[in-house]
Amino acid sequence: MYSPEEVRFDPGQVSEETQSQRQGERGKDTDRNVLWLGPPPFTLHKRTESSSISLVTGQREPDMELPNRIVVRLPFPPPTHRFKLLQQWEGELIEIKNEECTAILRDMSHPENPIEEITFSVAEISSSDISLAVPGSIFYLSIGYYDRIDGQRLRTASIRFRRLPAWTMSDFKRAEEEAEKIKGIFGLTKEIRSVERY
Amino acid sequence: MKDIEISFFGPGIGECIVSHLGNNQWMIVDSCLDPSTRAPIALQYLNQKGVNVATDVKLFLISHWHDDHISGASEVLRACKSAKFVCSAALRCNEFVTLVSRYQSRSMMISSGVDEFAKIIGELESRSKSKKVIIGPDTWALADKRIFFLPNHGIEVFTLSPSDAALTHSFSSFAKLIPTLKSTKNRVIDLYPNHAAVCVWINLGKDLKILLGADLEVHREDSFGWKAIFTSNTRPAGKALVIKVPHHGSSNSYLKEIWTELIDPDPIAVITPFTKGEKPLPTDLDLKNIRQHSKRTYCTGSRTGGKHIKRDSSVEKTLKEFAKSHRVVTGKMGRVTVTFPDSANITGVQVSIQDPAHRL
Repeated sequence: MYSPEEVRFDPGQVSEETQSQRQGERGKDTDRNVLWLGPPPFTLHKRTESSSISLVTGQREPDMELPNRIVVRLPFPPPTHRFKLLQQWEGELIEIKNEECTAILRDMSHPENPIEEITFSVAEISSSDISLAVPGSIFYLSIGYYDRIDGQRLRTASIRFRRLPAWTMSDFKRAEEEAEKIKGIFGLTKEIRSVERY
Repeated sequence: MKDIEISFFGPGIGECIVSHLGNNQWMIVDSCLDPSTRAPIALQYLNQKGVNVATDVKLFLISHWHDDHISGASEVLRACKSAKFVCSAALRCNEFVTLVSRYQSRSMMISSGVDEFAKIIGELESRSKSKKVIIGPDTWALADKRIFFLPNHGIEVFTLSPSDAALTHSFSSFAKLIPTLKSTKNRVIDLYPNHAAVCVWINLGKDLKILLGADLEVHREDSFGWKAIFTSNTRPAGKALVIKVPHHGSSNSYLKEIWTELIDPDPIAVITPFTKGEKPLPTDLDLKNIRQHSKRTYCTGSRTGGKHIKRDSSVEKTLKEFAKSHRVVTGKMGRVTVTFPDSANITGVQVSIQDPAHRL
C-alpha cells in the first residue's frame, strides 16, 4: 500500500465537504463519507453505503474494490529555510506617529537586561500584522540567521505581533465578581453607586 | 532622630520619595524598583538604614496609578503594616474599579500599573480580613486636605490635588480605557494628562515646607491641575524650600506663578527624569525654565537613559539597520538626599547625591 506521504493530488479536486471532513474528523472512524483513494492514478473517492463516487468524475463505481482506509493529508511544502535565533525581545507598542512606531522592549534572551526603547518604520510590519499594530499591542522582535535550503544565509530582524484573544462576555462576568469585591473595599455601597448613575 | 531627610530616587523610569519627618516618623511617596535588585527601592533603602518599616513608616502615598509611580507598591504596603495608605480620590469610582477588575482577570499580559493596583487591593483585602472590618485606602486624597498631623512635633502633611473638577473629569477618562466586548486584550495604556495626580505639601515647621509635585500638569482651565492649586484659597500657607519638580520637569507642568508664589526664592529643586518616549524629560528648554527659579537643581538620573548594552556584533549590526533609534531607558538607581539638622535649622541643609544623580 501507498503511505500518506506518497499521495499527491490537487487540493482543488476535493470538494468543500470532504476538505472540512478531513480537517474536522481526522482520526475519527465514521461509517459515512469517508475519504478513500481509488486505484492509480490515485483519484479521490467518497464512499457511500454500497459504492464509492469518484470526486473527480462524479461517477459511481459500484464494483470497485475498496482499499483499506487511509488518512489523506494535504502535502506540506518541504521546509525552505531554517531560522537560527540570535536575540529576541518582547515589545509593547507605545505610539504610532508619522509612519514611525515607538515601543518598549524587554530582553527575552537576557532578562536581566534593562528596558530598552526602539523606534522603527511602520514599513517593517508585515501586511498581515499591520492591523494588530495599535498602542498597547504586544509583539516579538527577533534577530537571527535565515538559512535557506539553497545554502544562502540572510541576517534578518522580524516583527511578529501577538494574536491576543478578544474580550468575551464570560471575561466580563468573571470581572464583575471581582468588581463587586473591590467596590466593597472602596466603600462604594449600592446607595452611592445608584446615585452615581444620575 | 531629630534630623529631617528627604530622599528622591529615580532610575530613568520610575520614582520614589522617602522622607523622615522627624522622631522616627517616615513617609513614602510612590514606588519604583531598583533595576539591579528588582526590589522596591523604598524598602531597600530603609532596611539599609535600619528602619523598622513595619512600625516606623506612618504614611504611604501613591500619587497616581501609572507604572512609573507604582511598581512594587503592593510589596511596600505589605511591609509597612502600620502605614496609612493614601491614594487619589479619583480612583474611588465605578469606572476605575471596572478597569482594574477587567484587566485583573486576564493573566497573560505583561504587567501594568493596573495590575499593580490590583495587587494593592489584594493587600487592602488582607488588612480588612485581619482586622475584621473593611479597610480600603485609609485616606482618599483631595485638594487641600490634611492627611497627617502630629501636633506635638508640628508635622503636617496635606494633599493639594486632585481638584473637584479633575475628579469629575477623571471618571470619564477612566471609562475610555475600559475594554469593550470583542476588542483585543491588549495592555492598558496610560492615561494622560495627569490631572488626578496627588500633589503633596509637607509642613515641618515655620520655615521648612516641602512640595512634592507628582506628575500634575497645567490645564487651560483654572479648576484643573496647577492653576487650581494656585487659585485655591484653602491651601496651606507658606513657601516651599524643597520641591520635587512636577512631571519630570516637563514644560506641560510649568506654571510661573507656582514658582513665585508657592516656592522659596532660593529653593532646592529635584527632578526625576523620564527617559521613555519621543522626548525624554526634562528637555533643555524645560531645564531653562526651572533654572531661572532655582540655582540648586538636581536630577536623580541620566536624562538620556542607561548605558548601551553590548551584544553580538551581528545583532548590533541588524538592530542598527532595522531601528531608527534605539536606547536603554532605565539606568542605575540614582539618589538625591536633602537633610536638615532639625526642622528649625534650615541653614544647616545638606544635599548628598549618589551616582548617577547629579547637579544641573
